[in-house]
Amino acid sequence: MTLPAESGRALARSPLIVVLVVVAVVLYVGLWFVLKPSALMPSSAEQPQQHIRYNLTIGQAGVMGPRVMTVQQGTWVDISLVSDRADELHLHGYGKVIDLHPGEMATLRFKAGVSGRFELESHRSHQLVSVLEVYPSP
Amino acid sequence: MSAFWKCIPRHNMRRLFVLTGLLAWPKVTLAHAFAQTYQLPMPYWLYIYGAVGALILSFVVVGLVVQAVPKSVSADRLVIGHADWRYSIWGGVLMHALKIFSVFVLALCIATGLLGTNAAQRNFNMTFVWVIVVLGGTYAAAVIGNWYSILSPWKLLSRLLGHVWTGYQQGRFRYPQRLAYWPAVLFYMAFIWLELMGEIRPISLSFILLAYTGVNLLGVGVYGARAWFRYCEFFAVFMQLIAKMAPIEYKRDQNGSGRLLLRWPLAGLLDGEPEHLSALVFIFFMLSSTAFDGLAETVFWFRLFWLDPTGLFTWGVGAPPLEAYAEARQWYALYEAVWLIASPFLYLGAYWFFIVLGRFLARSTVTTYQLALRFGYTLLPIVLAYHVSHYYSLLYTQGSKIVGLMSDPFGWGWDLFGTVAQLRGHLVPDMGFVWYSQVWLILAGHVASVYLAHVVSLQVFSTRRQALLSQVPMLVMMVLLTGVGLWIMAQPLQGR
Repeated sequence: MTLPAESGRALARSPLIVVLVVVAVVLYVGLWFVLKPSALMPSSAEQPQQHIRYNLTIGQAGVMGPRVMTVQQGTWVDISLVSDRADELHLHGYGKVIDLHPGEMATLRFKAGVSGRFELESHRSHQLVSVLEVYPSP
Repeated sequence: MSAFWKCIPRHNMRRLFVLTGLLAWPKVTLAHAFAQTYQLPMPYWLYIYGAVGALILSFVVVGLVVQAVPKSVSADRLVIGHADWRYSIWGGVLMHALKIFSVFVLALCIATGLLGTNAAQRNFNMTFVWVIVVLGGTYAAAVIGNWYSILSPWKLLSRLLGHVWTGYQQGRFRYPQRLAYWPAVLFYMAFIWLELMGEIRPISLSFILLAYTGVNLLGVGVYGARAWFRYCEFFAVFMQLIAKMAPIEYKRDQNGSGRLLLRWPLAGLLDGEPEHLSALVFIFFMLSSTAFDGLAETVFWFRLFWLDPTGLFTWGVGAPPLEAYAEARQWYALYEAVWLIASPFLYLGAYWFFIVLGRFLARSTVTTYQLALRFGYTLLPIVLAYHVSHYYSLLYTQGSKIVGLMSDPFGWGWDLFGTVAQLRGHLVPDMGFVWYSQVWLILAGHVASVYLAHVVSLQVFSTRRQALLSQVPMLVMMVLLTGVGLWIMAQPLQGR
């Protein structure tokens, strides 16, 4: 099959197209800096803090407390947990495990140094207790 | 999550609190729950940026690159080796060792599930099958070519059986042509359904592997190895499609001696086309199952069912899903399964629409069906890029655990190679890096697909004008595919 390649090459060489493409690329690169916010946290999330505390209560009616805990990378996090039954909770990704005794408060304290989305899971019932979302520093 | 709370009327809040315990349905222990990606949704600005990029880059490709397509791109091949090395002593030893290893690992995966621990993280088979083979094997095929066609344990087992039982590999019946690739589509759908919703444990994985081994050996006996591994064994179909993108190709020349060829990456996609509608559905399922896996964890998806915005559930059952919870959960399982199965057909429907439009604009005399098939392979770069950007971090976080699992495959406390404690810690890639790499990967896939579609259109249509016109709808469709893919990645994820 023969292609009318000559007209194509002529088009590619035409300065107008080249200029348009260069403008498009420059605009696109510029867009990166316009769109990229100074902070990567979603606007609805809590303001960056040095230290954040969350309370979670596990009972017959399920889990009371935040479904998602949103923090900025580098924040110190305290998660206070009370359960009506003995349990073992596991914070994935951070590899933290905490034992819960009925009615006793236990606290998981750590620095959220790694960004990502990490599930806090009960090892007894294999249910999701909450999710920790750590947003990277810009 | 605040948006979720806002959308619930205040008087329902109390009831919802009572129900939250129930609503925390056991998150399915799918591959991705046992092996978590730790991925945060992509920031919204990045999604917008990616979508705009898809649009701009499309025009750059059309405007600049395609105007001067080197005609030989699809034909350029460099011979880098003669496969006769396989028949040399060391080559033969290596090939045999690899083949024995392949069958051995299948047997090991079955054995560890049956005899070893049922804790997903501590059993070799879960990480090996779901992560090393399904993800790692796929990406390996995209780089080194179709390794699976040589090392498929099922192919090797059937060959072994053929040595004992003459005529076994030839099968008893002719493969019915009208079945085409549908059996592979069905197996693939069943596989993804099990992966996402089957709550697979090591022991059930062993049963699945055993059953699939049985099905394959039976299938070969009925239809013969050639037809079975071409049309029915879904993993062979999958790998063969992925390997078309590899820069390395293995081919026999006229004399029957094998050659190892180097070609441009993705150039293999310009050779041939899907043979049948079923192959097209298979390709779309590769894309839609990945998209579904992402979508099914989003707040959007959750609300679509549990808040019943269409009122369909309330109308049908007589109570909103949150009140008729027990019943709603069963419907939810069905709802997810139906959408999963329907997903490739939705993509296919959209694709078909744009093909019809392109055909109309180009005033082509080629049938819509032929055109749909002709452009089928050009979608594969988008498919692969989306797959990689979804799962590569899983290969990193979970795949690395295979080093430790190797030493203790059954979870019995062994330490065969002294590696049990290695890479135990959590390797979590930086989210910033993951997001940016996802966008760039998806854009690269998009550009490749747009480029290939243009090259194909120049082959299909007789004039450049026709080719360009036909590509306008195709371009819109690819921008949409990429945009929707990015949109899913930017959706907030469902919490507890």
